[in-house]
Amino acid sequence: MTRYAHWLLRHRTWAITVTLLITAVFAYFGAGLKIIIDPATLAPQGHPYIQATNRVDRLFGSKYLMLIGITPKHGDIFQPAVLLRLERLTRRLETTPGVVRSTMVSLAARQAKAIKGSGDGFEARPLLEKMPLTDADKAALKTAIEANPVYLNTVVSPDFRTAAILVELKERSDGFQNMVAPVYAAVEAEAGPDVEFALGGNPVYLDKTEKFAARMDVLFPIALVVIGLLHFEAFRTRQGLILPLVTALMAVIWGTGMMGVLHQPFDIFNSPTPILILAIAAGHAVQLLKRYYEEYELLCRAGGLSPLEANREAVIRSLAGVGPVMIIAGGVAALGFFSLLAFNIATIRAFGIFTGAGILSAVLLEMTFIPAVRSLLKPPSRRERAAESRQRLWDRIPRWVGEHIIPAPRRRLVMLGLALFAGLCMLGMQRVVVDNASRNFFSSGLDIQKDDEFLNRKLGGTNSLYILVEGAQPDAIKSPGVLTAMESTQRFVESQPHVGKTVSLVDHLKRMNMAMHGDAPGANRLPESGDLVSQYLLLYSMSGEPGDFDAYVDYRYQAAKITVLLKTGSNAYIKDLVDKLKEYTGQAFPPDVKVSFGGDVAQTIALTDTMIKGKILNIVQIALAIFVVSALVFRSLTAGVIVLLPLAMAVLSVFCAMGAFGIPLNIPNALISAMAVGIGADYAIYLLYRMREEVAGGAGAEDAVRVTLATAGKAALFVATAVAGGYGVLALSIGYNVHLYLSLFIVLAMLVSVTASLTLVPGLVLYLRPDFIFHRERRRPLWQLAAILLVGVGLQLVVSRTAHAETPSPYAIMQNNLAATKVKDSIVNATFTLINKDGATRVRKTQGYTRLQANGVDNMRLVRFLSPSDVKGMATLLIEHANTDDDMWIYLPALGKVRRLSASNKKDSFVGTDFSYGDVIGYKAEEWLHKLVREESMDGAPCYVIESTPADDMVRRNTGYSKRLSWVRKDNFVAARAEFWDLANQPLKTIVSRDIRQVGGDGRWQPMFAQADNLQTGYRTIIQFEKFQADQNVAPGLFTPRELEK
Amino acid sequence: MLPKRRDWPGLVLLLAAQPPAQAEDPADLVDYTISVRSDAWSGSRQLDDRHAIAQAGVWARARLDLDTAGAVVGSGWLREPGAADTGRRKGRLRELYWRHSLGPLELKLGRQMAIWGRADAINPTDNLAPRDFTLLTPEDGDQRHGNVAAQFNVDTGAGNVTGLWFPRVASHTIALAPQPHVSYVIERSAHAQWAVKWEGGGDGLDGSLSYFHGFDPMPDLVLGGMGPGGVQVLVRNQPVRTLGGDFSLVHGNTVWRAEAAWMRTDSMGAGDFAHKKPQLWLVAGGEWRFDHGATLGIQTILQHVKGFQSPDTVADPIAREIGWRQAATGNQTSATQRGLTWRLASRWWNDTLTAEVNGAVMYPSHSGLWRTKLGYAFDDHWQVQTGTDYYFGPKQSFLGQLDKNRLVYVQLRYGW
Repeated sequence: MTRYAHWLLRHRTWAITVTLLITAVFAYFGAGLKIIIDPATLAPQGHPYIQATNRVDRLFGSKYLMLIGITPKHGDIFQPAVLLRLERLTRRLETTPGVVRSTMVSLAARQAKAIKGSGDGFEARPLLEKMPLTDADKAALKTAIEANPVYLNTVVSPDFRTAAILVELKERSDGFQNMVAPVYAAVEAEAGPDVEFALGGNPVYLDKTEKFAARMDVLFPIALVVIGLLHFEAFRTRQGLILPLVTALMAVIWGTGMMGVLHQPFDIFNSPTPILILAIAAGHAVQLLKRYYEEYELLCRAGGLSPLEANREAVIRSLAGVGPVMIIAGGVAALGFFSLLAFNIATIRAFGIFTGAGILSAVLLEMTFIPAVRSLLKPPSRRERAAESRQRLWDRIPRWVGEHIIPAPRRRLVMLGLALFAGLCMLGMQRVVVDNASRNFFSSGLDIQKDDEFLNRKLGGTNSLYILVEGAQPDAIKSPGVLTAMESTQRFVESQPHVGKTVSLVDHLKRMNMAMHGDAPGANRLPESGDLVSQYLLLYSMSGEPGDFDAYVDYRYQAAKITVLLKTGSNAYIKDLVDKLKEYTGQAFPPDVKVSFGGDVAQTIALTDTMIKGKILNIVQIALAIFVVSALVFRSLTAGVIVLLPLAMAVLSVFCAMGAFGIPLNIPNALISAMAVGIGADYAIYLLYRMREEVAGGAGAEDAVRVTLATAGKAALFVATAVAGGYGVLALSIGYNVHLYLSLFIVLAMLVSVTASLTLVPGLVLYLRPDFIFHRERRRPLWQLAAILLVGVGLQLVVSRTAHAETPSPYAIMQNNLAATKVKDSIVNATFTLINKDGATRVRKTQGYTRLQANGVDNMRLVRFLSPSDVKGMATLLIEHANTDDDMWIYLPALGKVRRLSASNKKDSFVGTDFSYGDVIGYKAEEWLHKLVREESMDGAPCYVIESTPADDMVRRNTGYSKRLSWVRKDNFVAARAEFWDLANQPLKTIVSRDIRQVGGDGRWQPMFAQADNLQTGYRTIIQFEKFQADQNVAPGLFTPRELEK
Repeated sequence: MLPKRRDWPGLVLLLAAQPPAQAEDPADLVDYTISVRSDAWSGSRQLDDRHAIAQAGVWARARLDLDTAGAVVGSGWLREPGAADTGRRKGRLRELYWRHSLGPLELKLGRQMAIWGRADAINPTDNLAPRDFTLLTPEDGDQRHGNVAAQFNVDTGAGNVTGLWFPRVASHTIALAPQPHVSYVIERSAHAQWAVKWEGGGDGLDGSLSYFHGFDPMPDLVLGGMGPGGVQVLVRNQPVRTLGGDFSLVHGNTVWRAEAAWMRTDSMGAGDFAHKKPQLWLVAGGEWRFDHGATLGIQTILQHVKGFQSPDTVADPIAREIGWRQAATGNQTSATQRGLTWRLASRWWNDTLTAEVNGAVMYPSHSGLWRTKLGYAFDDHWQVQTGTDYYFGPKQSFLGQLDKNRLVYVQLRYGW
């Protein structure tokens, strides 16, 4: 290390220049990062609630429910000021992008109809037939609403003081701000002095979450200043203020730059991470700076060197002294965070990459840039040295700790106190409540909370739970048994607290029956037979419109949806409610009817289950990594345990505080614990290393502890104070509990972590007298270390597998399989080699471009043919649509123009190869029924073998397959092999994929080689991809028909 | 063969274009396709009696990438006609234009082919790219060539708007039946013309509205005079204004296509046989894709000629005969014509073998056309194509008058 330090100082100008250049490059890449919530990257796609939610979305377009309440300042809703606005707003929302028109409900919605008895039976008339209303019209409307109770508590409050529009919004990958902005714009256009609007629903909260998370832009610089000031207070020198901050800031730039290079966006859960890097980087800088001052002081006292020479020598000695431990400590923390890459949740991976990269950057900068700069600065003046070495609070605390930890009787008391504290924390932890409801992210005084409370008071509720009922065949929903079960389920759920309203097709059928019987109260029941149901629906269709029931039942009457509006989003309550409903519906519905649960609240439960479990596993994983690396570095299991104990104390205290103060354990709060573990590891490592150094230098145990506390301990205290101060700044984020809790818990974690490090670490060292400090010659042999490593890796794998085991269902595997190769965009050259049964070959070369659409599911694909000459210039464009037929165009040079083609037939050959369009695009998991057949290795990679059969005849016909068998690799979810059977159930073809490489920044994969063998014709096609480039920011304008001609 | 004078703008642009950015390999800047073709035809497409025509030719298309300065595209052919086909054109520069994109705006300057219309094969709005109907090629598209034009295309966000300005008129080359004592004088117009089109699409539906203000590329046959040499017939492109629209719509496995155009001419009325008469053209139909790559397209045609009058009402026999030739050439042989087109195509063995049968029939003339085409690729370079054209119907109809053009052909092609 000394030689390295000399070398560095000889080349310091180069070191500074290169570092600054790299920083500039990373600053460029990091500048464009934005904070967005991409539901697709957060949602655990394998969770049954997410699957049901996606299926409801596919069948009915319902996923994100938003409520818009309109309340006049005076009077009821029947006045023009309300109804005219309601009508205009409804019409505008019907044409607003992102709004699902078919499920939108309001008094003015086209599908909102009153069912009235007539001479011939009944008829469906729009609730709002004309505007403005006369007094007689108002009375008739009121009567119609009362006669059709499905509208009460949904679009009209029972006191007729509030009207509402229920809007369902389409999912998109570019954040909730973009999702709700058009709705806000429409509402703002209708604002006026005589009415009040209230907006509710999960999208409103998630939009606000994105906006509040962006406060980090302001809070981060304040945190920077606070950390700097705290360092200044600690060192009382300009170097003490500036140098740690420079390291920290540059480390953040490098970390964010690497995120930018990898196209890894921030999400709200990662947005406080820059402060974490800032804190860790400043910590390392402080340790080095503290050592520098020590060495400089020693050199000055020894005399013989000029100040400049002493400065240079102090830089070298401090780097040689602290460099190794800094590399170890930084490496330990970075490895801990990098180990999160094993997780299958994008946001956790992003957190791991960002933090790990930031920490490594900090270490690298401290080893290069900072010593180089310091050697160029003026040596500390006598006044500065005096200020730095003056005995102050920072010295008195470690000394006081030493006085209480070195004498054995006092040490026992301290240990007892710590044990008691840990016990109390464990007790407090028992009261932790898991609840990830978005409204808990905000303080109750905010307007969105008031709006939400108002809408929940006046209407059925702002939280939606969908009960999806699916029969085995078309028209299953018309069966009286199914309808009766739906009705009884509605009554059951309505009897539960916090349930404000349920709506389904049943309500409309009952109303039809009643209207048919002259509004006799006794006829408010379901029709007796399936035939009667069909006849009522036929009769309805004569006056209604075909899409009136799109929100309740699918076109084939095979699936129906019961919407449950809830006045609470409490996870615990909803989980309990869904459990009850599962039990109830299990008995109420016939055995061939499948019932599942989705919607806003169900999604939140799924997210909570998976993410919080994931974050807890994060903590375990980081801790394991820290244990293994610490044990290896010090060649001692004891060292691993000693390093871990202060961290465990910090985590316990955070969970205890949650339990004690009734703060819910949600995703951001779970993240804090993971952060605390990462930050706290440094202290113990620095302390142990310094103790070992002192003992090796001939000091006795007690003296070594004393010196360690006075030096490394003092530095740890600086760091903890600075980190706590930096995060304390987040308390300024008024109204946003995520930041408030973050500041509270990090301050607490730092306090406990540094206290435990300063007491537990020396206490245990004095008590255990471990060999790795006192008898280095007795260090463990290498084979034992190897065994430790193996055990550690094994445990890591167990934790990783546990994390992976969250998505074990065959459906989830196939969904991951579909997503595994979906890069944001790509440019690739491909060679298609077509080989006939006689071995004759034809070779086609293409250049392809893809770009994922905003919904994160559908791709756009442009393929240009480069050779041979008969197809050269030909180009195809495919725009996928999840819910409708894809768009496809082809440009044939011989024709000289672009032609639209039908793309619904996925079994068509892809550009004349043995791959079908479906094989290339991929198969939507929800259109198939999947079964895990076995697990086996393919080309040395463990795979799930999944059998997939078409969910319905349409899928069967469109794909041309009666069965698929896929060998899906466990490590990356890419299918290494697939076998296909034709419609006559005969083996048709096999596709083998090899050379699977990671591409892009989102952990996606791409096989660079694929071979399809047609078993019936003996033909085969080989696709070889070359120059595959992902995340190239391919322009969306490329995917237009006019581009095909170029 | 040297480019013609009207191609100079394209050449000038090519030369004036700034040199491309330093490329790693200059060869990467040029992209080309060349094919050498050797054909044997049982007859010509010139309504004459020639038989057993053999020819050989080279077809090429190249694109020079000028990086930020756009690209220059050129294509053309050279051929050596067989002994029985002497006197015909030996080469043509089909395209030579400079193309440049400026964000949503795209410019094309030079000789270019602008082909409009979404219907299959019969496109009433297709008036911009001239076609040599006499050229012996298996592909209809190969009969086309460009006209010098300035084109812009801008993506407005609410669809694409295309505008074209042509400094000169371009005419189709049609078969002129050789008759004793009749000479044809081909007139060339030096007028400018322009066209504009709005085009939008996505989510299963595409469509366009277009307007063309220029000269009908299909020439009229006009009695020029009578002299000692016989009758002189002028082959003249005459003014036309065409308002058109089209759409294509996908529903399941079917693509529905329709195209309509209202064509206004300088016709003086029913008794004016020297001009094509105003007419309305409608073409609509569907295309279905079947398993194993087969495609079937069927379209109906409706054409209504405003102020139609039979040339039989003309007293002078020569003027009457020319009137009928004009009516047949302009496809205006009755007030209302109905028709049907079909196309059945399929591919086998990874597109190695392709086959197509297509045709059309028009009523009340009962005229029509059957075509067959079969292609086989021996490998990536060698291909063979064979096919037949069979016209039928009375002489006084557009398709029936071409019955002398019935033929069988075979072509061997080597491409790289």
